[in-house]
Amino acid sequence: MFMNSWMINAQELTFPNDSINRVCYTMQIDINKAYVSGVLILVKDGNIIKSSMINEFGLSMMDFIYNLQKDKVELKYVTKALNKWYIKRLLKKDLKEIMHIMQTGGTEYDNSKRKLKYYFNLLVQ
Amino acid sequence: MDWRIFNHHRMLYNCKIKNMFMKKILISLILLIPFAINAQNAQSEIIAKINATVSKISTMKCDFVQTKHLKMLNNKMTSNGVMLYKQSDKLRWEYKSPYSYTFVLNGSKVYLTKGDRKDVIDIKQNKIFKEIAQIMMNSVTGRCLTDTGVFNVQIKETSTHWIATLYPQKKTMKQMFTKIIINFKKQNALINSVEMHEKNGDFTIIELQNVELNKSINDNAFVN
Repeated sequence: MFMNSWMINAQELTFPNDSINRVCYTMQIDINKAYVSGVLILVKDGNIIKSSMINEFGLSMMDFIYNLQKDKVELKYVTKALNKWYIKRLLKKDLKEIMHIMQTGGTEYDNSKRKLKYYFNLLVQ
Repeated sequence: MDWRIFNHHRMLYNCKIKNMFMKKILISLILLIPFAINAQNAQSEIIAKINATVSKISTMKCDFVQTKHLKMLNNKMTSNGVMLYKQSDKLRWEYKSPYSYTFVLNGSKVYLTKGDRKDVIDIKQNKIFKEIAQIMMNSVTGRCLTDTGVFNVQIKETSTHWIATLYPQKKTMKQMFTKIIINFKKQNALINSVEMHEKNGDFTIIELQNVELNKSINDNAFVN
């Protein structure tokens, strides 16, 4: 019973909920031989998850909102390098999958069709 | 006929008022010129004092606290680390918590270390990294104040600090920042903090603490 409650608590920590409304991840996106890395911060606000990805220097890469009820991602801001319609469309789809994976405690997502791999690890603060 | 004479007098009266108003504006501007020149001179003197201090720095070591303020999330993220600088082109920026990440600038090379992953970037071939390296190097030393082609600089003075606001002039830098604010302690003309404002409303404050100057730093600290 003790182990079960520990496992449930560990699972809760992977995604913001009403008791812990902020969760942080280190995140890395592998794009062929190159990569982009930073920190992903998720904050729960009612039925939405607000999220920002920043690089290690604190520079903003993207802001997005994930609606838990509608299961929908809305990009609010992307840095210039990502600000192309085809990249934003891809990001929205991939971020939605990542939100699902994070809720189940997963740590990576592979978009093999586009040769993109996302790695995310809980950041203990 | 009376109304035409009346309109004519009214026109003349309005012209006279406009002329008087314009004269007052011109006189005010002429009187303000010495103040503008004095403000410019005062700014140049402050920059000269800062440059005089910077020129005497051969090495710098300090702790830093970086706080990122996220507008959309109404939240902030804090990280800590250590900075090493060695004149004139060596900088080590090492994040220790809550993540481990090291950025080393040595001449034209940038060495990045993240966990087991190590990368080397030649800034001559990478415009973005060149800009980041220049901002970091020039911000921690205060040299950015004299980068007139890169920034438009305005300096304010308080009883204890000089506050320099830098507005980027180049396209690449403008895409990253709307302004950078550097805080210098008057007591020693050294940088106290750097504040970087971004287009999406986020801003990052980096505070330098426990600053040690001109102590010996091994060159090994600036390799991968």
